[in-house]
Amino acid sequence: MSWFFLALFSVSLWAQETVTFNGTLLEKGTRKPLKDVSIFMLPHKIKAISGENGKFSFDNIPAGKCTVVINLTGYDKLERDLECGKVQDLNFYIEKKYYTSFETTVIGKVTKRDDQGQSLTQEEFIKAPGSFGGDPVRAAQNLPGVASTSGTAQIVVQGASPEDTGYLINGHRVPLVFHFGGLSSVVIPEAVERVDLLPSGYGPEYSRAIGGIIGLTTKAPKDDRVHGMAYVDLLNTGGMIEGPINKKSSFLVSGRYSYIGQVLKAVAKENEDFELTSAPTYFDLTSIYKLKVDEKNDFKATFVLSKDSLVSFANKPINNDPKLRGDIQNTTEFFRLMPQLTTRFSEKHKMDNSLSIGKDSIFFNISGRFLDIDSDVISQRSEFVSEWKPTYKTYIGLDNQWSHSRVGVNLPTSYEVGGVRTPFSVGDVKRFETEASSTLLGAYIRQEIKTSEDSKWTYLPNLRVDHFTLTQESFFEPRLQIRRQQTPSLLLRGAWGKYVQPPLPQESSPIYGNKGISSPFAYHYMLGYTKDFREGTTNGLEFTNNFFYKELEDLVVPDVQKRYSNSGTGTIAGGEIQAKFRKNEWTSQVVYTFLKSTRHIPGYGSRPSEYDQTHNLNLIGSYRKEKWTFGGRFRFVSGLPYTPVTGANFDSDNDVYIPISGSIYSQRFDAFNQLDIRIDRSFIYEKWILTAYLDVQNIMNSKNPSSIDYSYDYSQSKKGTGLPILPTFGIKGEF
Amino acid sequence: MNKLFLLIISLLFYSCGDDFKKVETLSEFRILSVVANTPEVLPGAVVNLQLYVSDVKGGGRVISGTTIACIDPGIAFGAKVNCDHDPLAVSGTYDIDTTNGDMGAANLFTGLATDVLNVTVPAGIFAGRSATEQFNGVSYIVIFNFTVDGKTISLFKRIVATDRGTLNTNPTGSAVFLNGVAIASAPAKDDKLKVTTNTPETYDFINAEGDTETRTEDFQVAWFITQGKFDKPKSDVDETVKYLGDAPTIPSLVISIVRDDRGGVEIVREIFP
Repeated sequence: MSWFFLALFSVSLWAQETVTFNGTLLEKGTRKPLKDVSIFMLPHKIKAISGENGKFSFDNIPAGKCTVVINLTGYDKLERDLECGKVQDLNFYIEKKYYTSFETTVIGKVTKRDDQGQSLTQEEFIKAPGSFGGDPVRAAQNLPGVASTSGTAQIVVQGASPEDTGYLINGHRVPLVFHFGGLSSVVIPEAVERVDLLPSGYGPEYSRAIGGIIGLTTKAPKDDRVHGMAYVDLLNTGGMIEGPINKKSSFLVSGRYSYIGQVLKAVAKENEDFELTSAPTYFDLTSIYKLKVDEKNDFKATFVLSKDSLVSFANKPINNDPKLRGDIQNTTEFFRLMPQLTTRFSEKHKMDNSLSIGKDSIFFNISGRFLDIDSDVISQRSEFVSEWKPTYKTYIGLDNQWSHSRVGVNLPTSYEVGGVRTPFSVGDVKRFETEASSTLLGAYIRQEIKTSEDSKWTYLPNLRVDHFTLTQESFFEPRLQIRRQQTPSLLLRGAWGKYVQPPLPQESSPIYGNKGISSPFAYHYMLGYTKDFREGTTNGLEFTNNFFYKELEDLVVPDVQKRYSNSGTGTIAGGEIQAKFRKNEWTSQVVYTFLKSTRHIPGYGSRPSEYDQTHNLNLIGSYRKEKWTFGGRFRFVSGLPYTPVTGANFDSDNDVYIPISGSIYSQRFDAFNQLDIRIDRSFIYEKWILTAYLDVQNIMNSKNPSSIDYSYDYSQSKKGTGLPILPTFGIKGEF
Repeated sequence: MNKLFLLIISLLFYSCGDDFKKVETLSEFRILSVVANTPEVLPGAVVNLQLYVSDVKGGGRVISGTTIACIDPGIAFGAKVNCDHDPLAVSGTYDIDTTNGDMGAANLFTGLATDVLNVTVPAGIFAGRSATEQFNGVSYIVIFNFTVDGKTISLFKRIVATDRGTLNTNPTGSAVFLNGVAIASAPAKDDKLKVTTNTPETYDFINAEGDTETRTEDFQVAWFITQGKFDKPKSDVDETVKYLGDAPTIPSLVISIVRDDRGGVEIVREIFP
């Protein structure tokens, strides 16, 4: 009998046709393959696991009606009825509950080398409120210790001057990181992997900036498939495409073009003082090539091009200066080609070599008075990293730069103390053409030492050596960093170091400046800690607190006899906190900096620095709900100091009034406050994502005074305000 | 330079006209220029200075002031405008009588003050100066101070001492044209004005590289009117400026002051009674 039933059952199975069903599981919108996900087939109650590339397979399933069920945490549940046997190879797209903008290229968290530094990944800066559409450098202004000059977004790090901040792309110095006085950075955000802020106590890898460093690192192009992005908003348009070339190499090309000139032209049309003879514009281009040479060597080349230009006509003299009128032209452009080779000799020994070849061009002309600078710039970096023992690691590197500049000048000399400038119309006009070369040589060693493998202490005795040919100076810059991992969630740290930077070209010019000028330098002191209250969970509080002190020496200051001298000194002292709190859909951040930045110039005594912002508070929050993201940022910053003008002398030969300064930086503007909001709405399609966004800066239209305008004879004045309410609406598509 | 560029951008963004008093509109007491009979001299020479004054609404008074003359402390390089550095500074007085001479009521109390200040440039002004400085010129400044209507008015004039040989003279032959013809009436709205003058002088100058180059004077015009305003209150010679106000009530005047960028000046005054 048993033989009979067995035979009958076998015949029954044989009679029902079985098929193989193949599928691929992808994330909706991004087409990102999802692996290690359980896929169920009903009513057969069988399961498959997705593998590499999201592929999965069901073998020997009966043909006919079936249902595929996928229920993955963080994604919407998918149930799909099929006719198994008729279809055999399908793509399944499941929709994530939350998407960030430009989800397709979000990269992982980066490892910071300097504990006192701060880094923002693309995921963080691209959705930061108040970052003007995800601009990395503007987002960096949310970090502790960073302030901006109102309306211009120049970077002020911990009370230093903007000129004391170094700007880097992939470790190489560039002349600027912003277009048009701060509207956007010169590299499209989607091509940036991260932005780093290195404030007081930064490591020996960098120098030539006594304030701090802002560095952009371009991303490595994706190599899984072709990705693309394009956007358009009220101020500019841009796009990017990246993908594999072959199995070993990939590429990225991005560009952006601004039509803000048309907006400005519309404004200027109503203005009898100005006439724009051609629309001001800016554009940038970034392209990246990545090649996996072999198992040990990776090659990456980045090309960055940026250009800003403005041509206008001023009917009225600018700033009470009769000779600053008429045709105005300003063009600033630069490019850099940066090849980089990374060689991994072993798991513990690595070497990075990179080169930057480029050109900087600045042309500024007002009514025949001009400044024309063309510079060829080559810089080189090398770094050998070796982990000799688990307790001892070294970084040995070179950081060199050579430049050759051709300068044409037809400008009057000008003198400025405390922000009050002697008009150009008074100055002695200098006309000359000159060429000059400058070499900046640097070498460093960074060491990470632990006394034992389980020691909580890490000591980093570092040394950097710099030589500047222009001033014929050499510097030894010892730097020390110490950190203690008190508990897994509590990190204590301290740093001390010497930092030096060469004088600005106009300061050391034998014609405009003082050939005998030397390089200003600073000592940084820093103490701080970070406590992560999340204890390994996603939600909760992360708290950082730092204290810093800087001594500034040999600062270059104006001098009536020598034009410039090194008689300035200064101190900057302050503290900063950053509290990041996250709970489910909510993310919030409180960033507060308190500082006192003073300068001393013989003859003028001690006074606040031009960038002494006592209180700097940022409140940042964002909330995600389904496909919506709402973000906001509120800033409150103490008003910047300014020097009052108490009168003026009429220069009858030049038909101009020369202002008489009151006590230097003895008065302050009213406090700055501004609320920015940003709303994103994503529309997820199977193979692409469309995002619409509204970014409103200064939604309360706060009148933040940032400058003082004077009548022609300085007898009348009024305070100029920064950006009014500035809404930007745009859409972005990505695949 | 960055700051200047930012200033331009901010003006483009935010400047929507201002409510400051206009530089070209004459109303309160103002000193428009200082006229030297010889703007360049040899050391030891005497120069006669006269103020060109406008006191349209306060005319009919005598205003007394003080003067002090000394070697230029380096104003072009940021030095304060005073003579504290020079023990040989020479003090004096200067009176502005707006009822007399060229400044009478018929001229709307606007014209050349009668008082003449005689200034002797020190014979030793070249002491300690390089040959280049002696050639390009060493400035001797005269500072005038007045208190008018409770306000302090301070101005100065440079007298250039040079051994260049050919000395600068004031521009001559200036004339104002209204819509292409010699001006004969007050301008009406959108009328176009222009100044023509004689050919600018050329002069030698030792440049920053030590080479002698020949330069040509750069004439600049400052425009003034008793009512209304101009689209360009400062212009080049031969550049057209537009009058933007309504036709001024009579009497009125238009003044153009031509400066040669080397201390030389010529003033054209047109009165419409």
